Amino acid sequence: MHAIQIVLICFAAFAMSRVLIRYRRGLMRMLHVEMWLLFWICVVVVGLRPETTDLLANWLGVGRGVDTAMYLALLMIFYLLFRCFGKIEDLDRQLTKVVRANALREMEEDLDAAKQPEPPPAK
Amino acid sequence: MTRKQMAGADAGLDESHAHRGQVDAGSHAQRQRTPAGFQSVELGGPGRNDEPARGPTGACGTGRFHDTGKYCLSGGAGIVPTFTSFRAMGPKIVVIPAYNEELTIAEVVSGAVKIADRVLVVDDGSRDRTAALAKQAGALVIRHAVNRGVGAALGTGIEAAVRLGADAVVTMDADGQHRAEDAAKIFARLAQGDVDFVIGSRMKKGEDSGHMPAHRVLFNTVGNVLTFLLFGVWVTDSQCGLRGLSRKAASTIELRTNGMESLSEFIKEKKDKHWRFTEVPIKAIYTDYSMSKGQNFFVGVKVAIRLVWRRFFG
Repeated sequence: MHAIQIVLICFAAFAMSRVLIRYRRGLMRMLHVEMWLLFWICVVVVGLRPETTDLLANWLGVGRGVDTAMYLALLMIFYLLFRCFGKIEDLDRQLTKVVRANALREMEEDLDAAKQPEPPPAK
Repeated sequence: MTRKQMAGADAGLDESHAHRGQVDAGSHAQRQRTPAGFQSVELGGPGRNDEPARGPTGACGTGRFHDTGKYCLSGGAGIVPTFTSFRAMGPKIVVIPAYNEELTIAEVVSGAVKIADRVLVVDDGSRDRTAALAKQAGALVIRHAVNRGVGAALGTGIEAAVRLGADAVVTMDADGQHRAEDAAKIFARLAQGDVDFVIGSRMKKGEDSGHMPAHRVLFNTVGNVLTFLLFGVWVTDSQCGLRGLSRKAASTIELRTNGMESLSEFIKEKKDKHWRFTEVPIKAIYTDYSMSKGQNFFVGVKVAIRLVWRRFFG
């Protein structure tokens, strides 16, 4: 077994343990857990049997299995970036809504307070 | 007090403004154009405070109540003479988004209070004395707890103006780049009642249009082209912050972006909501300070990415 295979398998095992820990803490949904476990199991399989990627490469018409794995990894990274950017945009808008609602509420309170008659001076 | 009651005369406006707010009786007033430059303005039904519309003494200076309970600006005929632009208006409100603008905000507000009924400064999380100086100069200050960007501040200011019963809203930059007289021109253009959205254009030649630095011309041209490609509307100055909105436009605008890209998003809103639109030539004042506050290459790239995102992914 080559060193790169050991690194890949160890990293996949670590990643799967993190997925399970997050699931136990209630931070991940079952569907996401299944998807991530499937992904990391595929990484372990490819790490142990690199020739399995050749099957996919032949089917896709890419020369080498390793190239196929790289292309797919790149696609996945771009997709995750897209998801992250979208999520950040959503959070940004939500934060603006909260800040705006708070600012407008304070404005109305200030205007209300300005209209209240002053209390009579204490004797 | 309800938010609705906040609007118009009860919202802390002075008596003359309160009068206008009541006379206007919301945007539901029926307005009819008549020949020979006369305009019939018939105002009836509940006002903003859910009370019958009336002047401060039961009858406005030139108008009176009719038997129907409706109030008319003019005498019995319901006709008021006008030159070309008279229109019953509620408060005119200037909105100024500001972030760390203590060097210029007082002067900008001082100019704006002369041409508007109320000036709203949206302090976008400034860490300096922007809010205090704006208040001292006569503005109503709305504070964002954290910095959210010029688009978010504009959205807050416009929503506040609508709540205060504004019939016309003009937005200005806080860095001193815009002249109060140009804002007054935009108010006057909105008062004609035939447009919902006005952009002050630094590129459009007018009697007092000024000279824009070459790199700003380049940025603006790129902004104009990008705005056109993404939203299908050509304007000569898509990045100018001096803009006017009618009550209709101000109460329907939905800005989803937070930064400089919101300036182009206004134009998307114009197209989506079928606002009647025009451009008014203005003269911008370029100082070292205002130049340092403007767009640079990296801001431009960021704005472009966010605009593309806004166009295709909402």
